[in-house]
Amino acid sequence: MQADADRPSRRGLRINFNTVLAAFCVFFSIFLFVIIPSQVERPLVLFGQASEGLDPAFFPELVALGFLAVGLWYFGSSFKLNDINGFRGLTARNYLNIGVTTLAFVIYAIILKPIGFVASSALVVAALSVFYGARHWPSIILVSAGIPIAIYFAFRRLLSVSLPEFPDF
Amino acid sequence: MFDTILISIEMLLRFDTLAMMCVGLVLGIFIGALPGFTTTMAMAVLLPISFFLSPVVGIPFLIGVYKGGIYGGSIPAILVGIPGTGASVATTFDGLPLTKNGQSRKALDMALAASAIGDFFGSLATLFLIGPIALIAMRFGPPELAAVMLLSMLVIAFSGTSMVIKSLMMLLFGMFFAMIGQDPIGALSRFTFDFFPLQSGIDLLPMLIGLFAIPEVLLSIEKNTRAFVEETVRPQGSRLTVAELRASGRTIGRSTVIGAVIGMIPGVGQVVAALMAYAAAKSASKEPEKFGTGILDGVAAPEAANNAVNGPTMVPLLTLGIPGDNITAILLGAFVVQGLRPGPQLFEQQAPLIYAILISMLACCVLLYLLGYLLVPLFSRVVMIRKAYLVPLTVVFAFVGTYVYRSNVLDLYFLIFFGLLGYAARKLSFDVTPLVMAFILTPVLEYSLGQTMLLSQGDLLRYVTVERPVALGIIVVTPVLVWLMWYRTRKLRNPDLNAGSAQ
Repeated sequence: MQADADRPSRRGLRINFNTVLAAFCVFFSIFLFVIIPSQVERPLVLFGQASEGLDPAFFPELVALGFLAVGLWYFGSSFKLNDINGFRGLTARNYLNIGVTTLAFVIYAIILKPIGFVASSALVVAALSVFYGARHWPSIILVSAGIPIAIYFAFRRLLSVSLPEFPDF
Repeated sequence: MFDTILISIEMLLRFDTLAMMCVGLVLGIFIGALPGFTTTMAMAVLLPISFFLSPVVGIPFLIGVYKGGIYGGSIPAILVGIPGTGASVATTFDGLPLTKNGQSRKALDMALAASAIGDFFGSLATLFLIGPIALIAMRFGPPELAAVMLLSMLVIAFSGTSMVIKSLMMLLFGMFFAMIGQDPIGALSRFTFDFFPLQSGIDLLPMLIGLFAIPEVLLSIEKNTRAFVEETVRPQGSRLTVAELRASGRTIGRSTVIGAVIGMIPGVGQVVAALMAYAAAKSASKEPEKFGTGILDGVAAPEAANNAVNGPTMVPLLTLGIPGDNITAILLGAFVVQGLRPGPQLFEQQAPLIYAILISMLACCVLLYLLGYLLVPLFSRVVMIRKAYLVPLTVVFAFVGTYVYRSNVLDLYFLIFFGLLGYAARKLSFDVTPLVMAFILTPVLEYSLGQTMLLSQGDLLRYVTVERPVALGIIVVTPVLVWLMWYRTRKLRNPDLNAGSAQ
């Protein structure tokens, strides 16, 4: 019975996404070691004496070392791991949904300030609602315009916070 | 202490505090009742609202969201067998059979009563326990604080939901993100790549909303279903009687104790508490074979336990500034933005405020019962809301919440980045909790360690071993505690290990 329980892990000795992530971890640690001298500002040395305090490069070096150690440990054990890659079960349609939604996020971030909160939110909500399958136009218009306007006034009146107005060129 | 409690009650007796607690509870139950949307997501999305309210209004509002969300998860668990939140998984075991037997209203009432009672007594225990713990914490200096931070980070990594190695990797990423900007001691720039906006570092808010709200959105839109549930759902049957509630009293009491104890252990959480309480109720029952067929004790046990966790999770947060889980990490964000840094100093300076927040937890339990009792029929229809409208609106809330804090568009790009990172982490079985904890705790750890170095005047080893025995003690017990936490969490999550060790 015990032998049966062990079998899947022995059978799973193969390169998988964990191996790739472990390799990334090791490369990231090397990358950190390379950039630390240029990316961590050195403290001023007064009268030729270094401070007794903590060096600003101490934690970055500690983290880089940590990445190296964890990466090597992860790499070694990755061949035995048989946990499921959640991306593998996704269909082309799933990827399309994720891609379109991510694109909508980026567009929203770009247009939020130039065209204002209400207009940009209404556009994003309407576009995503239609993409996700809503077809009842009065509801789409009501939700996409009504709720951003309600949020706008709630933030402005109740919380005294200003959101980007339309238009703000 | 009692004088402080009286001042705290006075602070709380405000219309706006009570009103916002009710708003928080309603929003929490609403989001918790949506299958696939978690309490953590509700907290992350609604967190920015608290920034513009005074602490005595904003924090109780978030506590309302927290408690409402955990209870709200039981509604779809009972009505359609889909847990609204992870905490309600065990509720489906008897909740759905009760619905199939035409007793869904009774099950919903039992879930509500058990949640409110479990939560109330869990919070009451917190109120009395927190004072003595805070007194010890107040004696801590920089070396002890640094040792406690290190211990907390390791405990969180070793007791997380994913493998230790993956949790350690996330912990390191959290530490790296925390170092971008300026170092906490000399304000020297690190990893800014000469990009000026990075000088101020990465803000906690886009990280929290990105990691906890955006992945829920992406996971829920993978499949293009229009609604969470494509059927009409309505509570049926008679309401719960006092005699039925009394009959489950022992189960509720036992589950409350289990939940409260689990709540004090960082990183374990509601899911484990609910499953443990369900198993305990089954083994203590005279009719264990009836569990799973639709009995009220099967709903009372997990609901009392998962809500009893809520209060005690605040103990490490308020006394040491260490969040034990994602939800308390979000609450920590709310405190920090309000200019309050949870920890020993806050207890010393703002004890009435802390007690006011703790008492608001008790008030929230009473309000939860009242609102839940009145609005259960309405909340049960939430599961039928069209996803096509709800998901885009969640996106708007996430974006506006991120933007309003600093009015900085760069935060929106961080939001997207952390959202995609959180989504990938979920897909590849990585727990993001160690990342968030490391991001929050690293600057404090570095600052405390820096202060310790200065206090030691160059001889750290002698200073810690000779002058700081408490810090030395914490350092010495760290590996033992980490191992114990790791072993205990493994045992709690994998009942086979218990069976194996018993044989």
